[in-house]
Amino acid sequence: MSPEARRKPERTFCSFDRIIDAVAADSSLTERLADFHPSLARLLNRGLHPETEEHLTLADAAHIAGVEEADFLAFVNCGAGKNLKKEARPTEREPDWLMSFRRKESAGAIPQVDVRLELSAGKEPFSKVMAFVDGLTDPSAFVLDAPFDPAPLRRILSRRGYVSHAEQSGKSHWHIRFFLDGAENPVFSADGISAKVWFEGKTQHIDVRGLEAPEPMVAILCAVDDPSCGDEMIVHHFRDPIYLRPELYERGWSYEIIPGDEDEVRLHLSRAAD
Amino acid sequence: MGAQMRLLPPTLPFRFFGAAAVMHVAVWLAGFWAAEGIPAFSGGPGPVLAVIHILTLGVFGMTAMGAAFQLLPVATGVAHRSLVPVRLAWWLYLSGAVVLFYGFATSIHAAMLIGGIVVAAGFMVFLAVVASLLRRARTLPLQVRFAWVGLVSLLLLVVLGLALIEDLARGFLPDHQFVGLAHLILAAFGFMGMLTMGFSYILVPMFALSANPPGPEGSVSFFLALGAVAVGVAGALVGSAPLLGGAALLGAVASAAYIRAMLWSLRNGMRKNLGLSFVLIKAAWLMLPVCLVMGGAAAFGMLGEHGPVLFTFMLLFGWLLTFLMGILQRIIPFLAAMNMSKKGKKPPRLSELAEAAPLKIHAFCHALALIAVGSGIAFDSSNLIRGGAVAGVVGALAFLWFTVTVLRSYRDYHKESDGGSAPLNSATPVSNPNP
Repeated sequence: MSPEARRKPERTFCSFDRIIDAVAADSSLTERLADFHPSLARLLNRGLHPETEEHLTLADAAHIAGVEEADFLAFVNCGAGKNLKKEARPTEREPDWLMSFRRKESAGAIPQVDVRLELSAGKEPFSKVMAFVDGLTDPSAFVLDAPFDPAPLRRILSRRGYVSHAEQSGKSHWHIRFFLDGAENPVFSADGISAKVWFEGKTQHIDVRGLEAPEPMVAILCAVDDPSCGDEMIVHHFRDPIYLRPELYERGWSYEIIPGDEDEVRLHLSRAAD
Repeated sequence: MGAQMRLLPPTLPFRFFGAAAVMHVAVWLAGFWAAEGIPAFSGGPGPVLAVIHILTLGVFGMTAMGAAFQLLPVATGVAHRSLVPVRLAWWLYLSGAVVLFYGFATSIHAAMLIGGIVVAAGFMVFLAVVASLLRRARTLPLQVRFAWVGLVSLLLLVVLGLALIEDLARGFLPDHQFVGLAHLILAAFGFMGMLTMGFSYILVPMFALSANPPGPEGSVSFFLALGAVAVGVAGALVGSAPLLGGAALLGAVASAAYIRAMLWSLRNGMRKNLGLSFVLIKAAWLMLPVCLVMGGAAAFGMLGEHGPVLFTFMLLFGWLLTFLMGILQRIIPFLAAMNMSKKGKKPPRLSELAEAAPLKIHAFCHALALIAVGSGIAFDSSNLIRGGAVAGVVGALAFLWFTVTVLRSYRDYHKESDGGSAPLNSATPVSNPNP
């Protein structure tokens, strides 16, 4: 039996599975990760913060490591691709708020937090960042310096209403700008689809009106697939999205139409009880 | 707007897709029977023309009609005004096609003419229904443009098709073969090609769960493909090799832009593992530029004696059939799943609707059939063609098995939840309190 075959975990992991589960299923994974992304491996070795542990998916890990998601999954599932190639990540589209943000930043008016030292020492930086955010006197904007683009942290902070923009300023230096954009903010999506999401109480709302097919479906599924998504969601659509049904059922969700405004079809999505 | 008139009663789209699956078996069976005459085919009625039309009308036409009737209303949000024309199109088209196949196979002119007229009537009803949907569509401008060109091509190919049949009796066309080639270009690239590309811009992002491709490739592929069809038809009608070569070149650039946009969707989609269906679809994408290059070369006589037949085979079986089989194996379970949501009854997951084995058998046999029949044409070997046709029949039967399995899952689901028969004649009701 080849070493690759021996490494093969008992189950096949997909993008939205947590990395902690993959590591638990394959003890050699942390060691193999160290070969191409030391920071990620150090994090896993020292133990993740419970919040990060809950949210760090394999897709995030691939994003952080800067490799193709499919290659990374092959690496995790069958030990393939020892020499994972880093992909040239496209520069993020600059949001409207970035120009004024940069001006304030140049004037020294934006608080900053740097977690590169913590990560190089193998420390979990999540608590430091959250304590920093909680302690901000003006929480409207801040900057994070990190050795990689922290996708799960950006997602977690988006639940608090933060939009963000990441820029690589060195080989192991990412500069991530966070901006509190009122009550609404775009879905954090790699596909560049901007649907508005917000919370009413504990229930997430997503408004996909104005998007062209199949983007409403993709935006909703992005939100549903997000590991931090709750068990229900309200969708503001312009019609009954019948294409969505099979995809939701596939994920163990269902929906019903509930009364909404005149110009919308409002859907109540709920995770089916097993 | 409620979903009822957009989501058709399942019996309507399923009858078209089911017929396509049955005709798919018939194509390969007829191919086995007609093998002797395939390498040297140069037009005219007979078994080979019957095989071509079982494929184009039986498999492609049925799939295009089922997909357009069901997918256009859902994608554009425009509902059918009435379902009577949809049913009328089905009966006209099916009955006309069967008579036409018989007429071509036996060279009985009256059967060809009657079959041709009835098929044309079915197509005209289809054209009117789809035109009505497109006229009212306010979204998806690119896809709608592709569909309009497809409809215009359909109108022209029907006129040329009827003229070709009548020419067999009266001999009024200046060159039967040139008009036949124009008819083929309009059918394969104008009607099917434009619909295929237009639907791809909806279906591929939908299946890959990606945003719509952002670049100019969509418009570029549309205008170049339109130009390619126009130049190709003109070149065929006047018998000009340079025009046909130019059309092939334009088509190849159009296909490159189209494939680039499709690959963008696959790269940027949330769903990375797209399964066997996309192996077929990607293979078809590869064969599209290959067959265009072959077409250009064949126009200049560079592919030898059997070049035109090899080009036609690659075009119809290599590109279009491979692509449609890949799309059909996605659409059929998806459509079944869309109609499976009853209160108090958990709907099955897409992955539970059908087994993977028949699709694996189909893909393997389809590839084998393409290689064997292609080689048979190139080397003038009817035995190789027969061998390929046998592989094709096995693959087509496996695909039919897959289709039946999905339909049976659908029936069982409704039987269990109703304690009675499946409501194939009504779309799953969706209560919509919004106007």
